[in-house]
Amino acid sequence: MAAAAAEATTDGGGKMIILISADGKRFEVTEAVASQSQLISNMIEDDCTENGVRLPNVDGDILTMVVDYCNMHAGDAAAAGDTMKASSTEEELKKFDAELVQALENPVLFKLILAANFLNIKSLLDMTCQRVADMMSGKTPEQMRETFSIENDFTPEEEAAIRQENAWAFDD
Amino acid sequence: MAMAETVRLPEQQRRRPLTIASLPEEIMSEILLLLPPKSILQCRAVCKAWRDVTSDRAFLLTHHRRQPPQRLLTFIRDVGSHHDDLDILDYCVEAVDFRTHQFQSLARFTGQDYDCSLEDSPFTVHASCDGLLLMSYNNYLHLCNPTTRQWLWVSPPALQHDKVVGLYAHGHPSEYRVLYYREFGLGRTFYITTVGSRKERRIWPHSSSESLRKWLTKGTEDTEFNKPFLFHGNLHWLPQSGRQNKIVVFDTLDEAFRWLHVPFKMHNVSSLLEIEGSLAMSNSHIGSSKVDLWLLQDYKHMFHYDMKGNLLEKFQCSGRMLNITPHILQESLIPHEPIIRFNSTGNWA
Repeated sequence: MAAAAAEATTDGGGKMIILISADGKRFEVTEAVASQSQLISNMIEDDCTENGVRLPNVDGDILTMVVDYCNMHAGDAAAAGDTMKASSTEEELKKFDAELVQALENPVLFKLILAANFLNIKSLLDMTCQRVADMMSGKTPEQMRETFSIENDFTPEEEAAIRQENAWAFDD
Repeated sequence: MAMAETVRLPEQQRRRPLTIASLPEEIMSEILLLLPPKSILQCRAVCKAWRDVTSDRAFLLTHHRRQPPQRLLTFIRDVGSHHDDLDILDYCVEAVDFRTHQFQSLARFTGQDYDCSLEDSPFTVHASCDGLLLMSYNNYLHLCNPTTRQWLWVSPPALQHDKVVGLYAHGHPSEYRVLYYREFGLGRTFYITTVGSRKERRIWPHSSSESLRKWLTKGTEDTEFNKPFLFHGNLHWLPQSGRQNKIVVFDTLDEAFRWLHVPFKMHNVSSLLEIEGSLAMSNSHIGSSKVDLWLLQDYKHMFHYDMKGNLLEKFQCSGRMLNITPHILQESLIPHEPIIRFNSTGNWA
């Protein structure tokens, strides 16, 4: 089955390949879409995608997001020739990206980061890391611990010493 | 495929809800590198793991290199209203990021008013290097890191009779050196001091070029070293009087001066700058909106670019005597040795 599907082609261009998540969900995407992952791009080059690509580190719900992201951003490259179309696509992309990361619960966001890192999709990794940085920026240490469920492992004396060292940074 | 199989996580670990602590160290480090300096300092107080990452010297160096270059501005702001006649001013230093048009207040010296028609401003920004600023107020020279708010006095030079030429880093880990000169009769003598050493070393005369030696010691107005430009560790100046075709370079390793010839005569309104990692020169034409840009390649070739000057944004300054300095600041949280040795409490004037 997988082998047959992997051989299939579409009008849009390019061979189709099958991605298989940790929980066995299958996603059919074009090589162009999948190649945004450097990991898969290398596998395509090495000709080892025939029987589908198993991704044992990535759950189906996360892989759904990754595939959506890649589908959206592969269209971007295709439209690059047409200036008018490209500029509207760029705006759509920005909106799509913002919506993708903003609604995520922390554990899902971290899973997406790990998936982007594993699959080596730089733009997705940059975007998700930036989202975490935005959540940290402007917060006090207490607020950051609360936001990310971090345990304070300092003794009161250690923490006081750190705050003393750059006292101005902790003034509100 | 084999590669994917080998990094498979144990089932129960994969099912457990992920926390930020589950992210690999290199990803956590990348995230923290995206933060502005103040947030980094706050992260140090969150937990031991974050403190360790954000205190690491290599991390701080990478963070420094990724900070946007900001142009320094100075201006004067009156303290109090016109009626109380206090004659007190704030000498302010701000940084502007031309990409985001954001201004940031860096330093402020409060002091007496002065008569700008009779005397020079008692406040000067002399140089900037590795996130450090060399500034003087009333002949007291300070080296400070506005990002960590640490500073120390630098002496020598004695600004009553010495004139600062430039600041540069030397060696690894960096020590900071100030180049300055002292006028004796008709000539001038150059000195170098390492910040924190309280010692000075005479280096004049040191140039293979007779004409440059003459130029350096002449001590007339057209040899003012008032805009040092630090590029690739060396100091550069444009001669002050018009229609020159030479730049003065101070090689900080050899501690020698030399001429750098440029293939055209410079106008009065020229300045040195850095464009995409190359030393560049802008040359404005009086009475025209045209600016020539020249890029220097490996100290041998210059390329000529032509660019139209467009007004990007107007900015209104709340003070007076606005001066856009030639100095660039890239913020740094690196604990610079001489500064932390002399001022470990981080007090800020």
